[in-house]
Amino acid sequence: MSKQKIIVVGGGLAGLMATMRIAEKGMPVDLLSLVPVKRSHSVCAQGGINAALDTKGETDSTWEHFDDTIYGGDFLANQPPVKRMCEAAPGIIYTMDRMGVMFTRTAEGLLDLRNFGGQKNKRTAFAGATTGAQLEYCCDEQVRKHEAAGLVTKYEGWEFLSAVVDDEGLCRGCIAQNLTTMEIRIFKGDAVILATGGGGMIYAKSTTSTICTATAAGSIFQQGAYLANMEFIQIHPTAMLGDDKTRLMSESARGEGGRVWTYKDGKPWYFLEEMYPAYGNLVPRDIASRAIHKVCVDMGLGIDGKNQVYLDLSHLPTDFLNRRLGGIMEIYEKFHGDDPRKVAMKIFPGIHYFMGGIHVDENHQTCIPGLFAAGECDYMYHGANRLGANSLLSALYSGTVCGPAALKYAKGLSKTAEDADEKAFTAELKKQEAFDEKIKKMNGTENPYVLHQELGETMRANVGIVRNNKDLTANDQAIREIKERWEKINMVDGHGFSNQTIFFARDLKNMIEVAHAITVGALRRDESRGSHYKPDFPDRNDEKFLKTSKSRWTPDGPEIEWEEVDISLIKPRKRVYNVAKEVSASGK
Amino acid sequence: MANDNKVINIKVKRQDKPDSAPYWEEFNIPYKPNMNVVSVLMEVRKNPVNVQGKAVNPVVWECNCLEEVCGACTMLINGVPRQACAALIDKIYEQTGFGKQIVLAPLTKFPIVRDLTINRDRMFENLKRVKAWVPVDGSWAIARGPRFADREQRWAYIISRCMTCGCCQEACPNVSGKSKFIGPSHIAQVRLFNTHPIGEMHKEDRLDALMLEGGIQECGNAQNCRKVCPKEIPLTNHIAFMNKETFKYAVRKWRTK
Amino acid sequence: MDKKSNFLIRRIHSLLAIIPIGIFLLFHLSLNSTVFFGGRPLYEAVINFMKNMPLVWVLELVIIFVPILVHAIYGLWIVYVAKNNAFNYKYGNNWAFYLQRITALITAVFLVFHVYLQRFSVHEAEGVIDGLTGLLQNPLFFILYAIGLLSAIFHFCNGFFTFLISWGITIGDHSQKICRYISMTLFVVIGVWGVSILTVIAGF
Repeated sequence: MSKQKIIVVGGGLAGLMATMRIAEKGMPVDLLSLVPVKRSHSVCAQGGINAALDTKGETDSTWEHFDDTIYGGDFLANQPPVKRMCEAAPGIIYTMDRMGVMFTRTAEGLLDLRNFGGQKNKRTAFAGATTGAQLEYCCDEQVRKHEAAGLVTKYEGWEFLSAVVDDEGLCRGCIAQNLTTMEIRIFKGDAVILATGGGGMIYAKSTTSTICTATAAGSIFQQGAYLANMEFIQIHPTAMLGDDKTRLMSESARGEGGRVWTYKDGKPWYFLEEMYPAYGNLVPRDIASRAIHKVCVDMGLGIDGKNQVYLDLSHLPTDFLNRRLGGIMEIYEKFHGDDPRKVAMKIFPGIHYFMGGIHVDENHQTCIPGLFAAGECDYMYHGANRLGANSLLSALYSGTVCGPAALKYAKGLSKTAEDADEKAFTAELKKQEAFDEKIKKMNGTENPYVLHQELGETMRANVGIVRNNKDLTANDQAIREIKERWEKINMVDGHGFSNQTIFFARDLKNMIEVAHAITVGALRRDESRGSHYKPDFPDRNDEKFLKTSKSRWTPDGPEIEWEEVDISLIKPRKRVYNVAKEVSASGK
Repeated sequence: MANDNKVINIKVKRQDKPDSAPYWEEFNIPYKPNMNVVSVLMEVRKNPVNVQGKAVNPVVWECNCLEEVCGACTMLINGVPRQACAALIDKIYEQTGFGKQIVLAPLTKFPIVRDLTINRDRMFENLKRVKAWVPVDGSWAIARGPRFADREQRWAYIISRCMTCGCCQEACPNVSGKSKFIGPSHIAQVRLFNTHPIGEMHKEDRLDALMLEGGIQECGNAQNCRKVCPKEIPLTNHIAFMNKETFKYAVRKWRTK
Repeated sequence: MDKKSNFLIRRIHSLLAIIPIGIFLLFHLSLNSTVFFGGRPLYEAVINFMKNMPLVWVLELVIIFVPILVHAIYGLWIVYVAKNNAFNYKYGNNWAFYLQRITALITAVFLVFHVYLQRFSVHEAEGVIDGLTGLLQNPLFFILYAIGLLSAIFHFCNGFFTFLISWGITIGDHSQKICRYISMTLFVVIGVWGVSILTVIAGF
């Protein structure tokens, strides 16, 4: 057999962890990334990473972590993989610690833990308020070690265009384009792992980075892969509005004692503490965002009449804040101007995270054999709502599962990608080159950047915190129109070198397809569960909708199929946060 | 202040290709409060017309997180290297006067790709050179990590926030086409990894690397690095400390050879 | 080692600046200070004593010429590789960095002239002093000569500050700041000292 190789697309935590796990077994990896991997979006994660280390005398357990995660996700996640993730969490943290992550310490030099939303125990390890950056840098360093040893070849500044699927239906590699030279080429690999992150840019303004377009997911969606649970979009309750993006104010602010309030009858009203006495300010994000929405929109009590409330840390000691929340103190001070150590921050809910994503099996393989997905771009671990500090965990954990699974798959192949029929590669290459030519020559009337803003506006207006079928139907129509208008794009950049507009236009096409899947998913799910809230259907409907929605691409728009959820470990129960969570009956 | 009809005037140093000649181009963008340099450039690409009213190719620049944690959008703004996302227009005007022209240029110490985008591969290559990682046996869960004192973590954490943006390299007079100086950030990185209890076991490898051509000895103590570091890493202190460490190591190596 | 390193030469370059060059500078100025106490006769006597010391050329070679030559030649390379940017980054230490390189060049020129004039052109102390006094009475020459001398002194004092960092002696902000003050105070003190000597000699 010829020499084998695995392709990893994406240099965030999931991609780097998968790369590490594969390289450690001696298999070469081609690592494709839009940006130098150190600049991946994982660096934006702030608050921390969950693991039941149980070092605070609270008799925490991985089962409790598992139960909190399932409960927080409103029982929509398949339970066995989540259980395995929670069990692996302490080991992952210790590994990251060994690799040099500068976690914040206790007096005796152990990892410190703090509170986070939706969980009663201190379970969140952190490195100041830049935990994502610290973890990402650490993985970047480890992969650099493998790169120096010749096992990993980085292709930074390359965009994934499509997967190469041969006659047997197996994924044999991918087509990618260089952002600078514009070269389009074939990458042969015995397995392809997509670790391409979420798609916040579909909403134009979100807490995500500009590269989070979900373009890779959109591309393989059109190649036959399923997207799952796309209607579940996490809206983070505490973000700050900016002209170019909404910036995250970490949940750790609430975890460390931050209080959310607004004025009612001229007096501060700590509405989360009043509405949810059991969890107070530490309710999960969907609950907090809806409460803020209710206070601002329904009751008209937003600060200065706007859709914003206070997040107050000013009662906490300055040194404590600098040490444990320094990163976000700086961001707020720099981008807003006020010092959050002295005055309350003005925050409002912003688009943050995709719970849904590419549909994969327990080995993180899509329905196309050889094509895998890990990290935020998959749909596995968070159900209908993600708990804070579980995303860094799921990114790393999915990498540890996906990497070895892809390796095992590749080793089991009877024919390697190098030996596979050339036909499939050249056909896909030609297709992508033709599409590239088409985009280059577009000379219509639509500026792609303006069209993108319109897509974001309609998505924010209609598929946000509160949804109803009338708006969603209108949004479906709006997206169909935007899809038509996309054909009339004007290629504003006539340059053949480092042409960002070509990439943006292609990404936009894929964003529109994913936006459509989000909209139709939301339209079909007539219930309220986790982040998906329809006042017309205010309750969870387990009988009809305790199911994963699977979106299949068709030229006329997405078709939804429903798949049973594996609830073999914890029996679904009502999810409430005004009283303490019931102890889960099964398991232990 | 009424802001109707107010414009933000920017002058951008542009270059079509790595080997083509640079040229300047000006753009006017309608003023809005709370803008930053990235959002100004985003407006330019929505309507890429220069001050002469001519439709031109949109300005090409790098950005990603827009929160000053990824380091992508580093450029010279009025001559100072910094992240464009964190360069708030209102703040700039506070210093220069409202409506004063804002000059954008690519960093000068790195090869230019197009317009404001530059190639910073050299910095990542140099991270390899100084072996900036903790050499663990593997990524599987072997055991708890080593204990690490809180007081050590406090300063080491500050170094570990380095995003390899290139500001310190840009401001350093000894990083030039004529020298191979690896730059201030990487010297601090060596201290970081030489401090971690597992990284410390291999500190000699990094010290050796730090004493090669282009190593720590190239520092001339101009100390600009520290002033421009967006993460406020006290680079000059770390360089001084590593001066001591490399010297001690050189003497020890000579004595025990 | 297969890869080349200039670590050793850079450290030697730095060390030579203090030992022996810096010490010699202070010794030199101290000897010249005899002009304050004994006037021209004592000064002449001291010069003659130094010139007639047995094996003085060995001392000169080992303590003065070779170290200065090594420091100067490698120093020229250091000046060459820097891309000075003091007008862009107007911080005190960056200005000092720039001045260190400018004064290096001035000092080099000054030393060539100084050594030729006072060591090789004339052999008797009387002639040396006559020559110098004559020149120093020209105000333009006095200014140029003083600039040369002050450059050498600045180069030494500022070099002392960077020496302490380059050898890892001052690490923290506090110690570096204190030594910055000390180095600049030294510059003023030694500078006044040196120019006073010139003034006295000009008056002989």
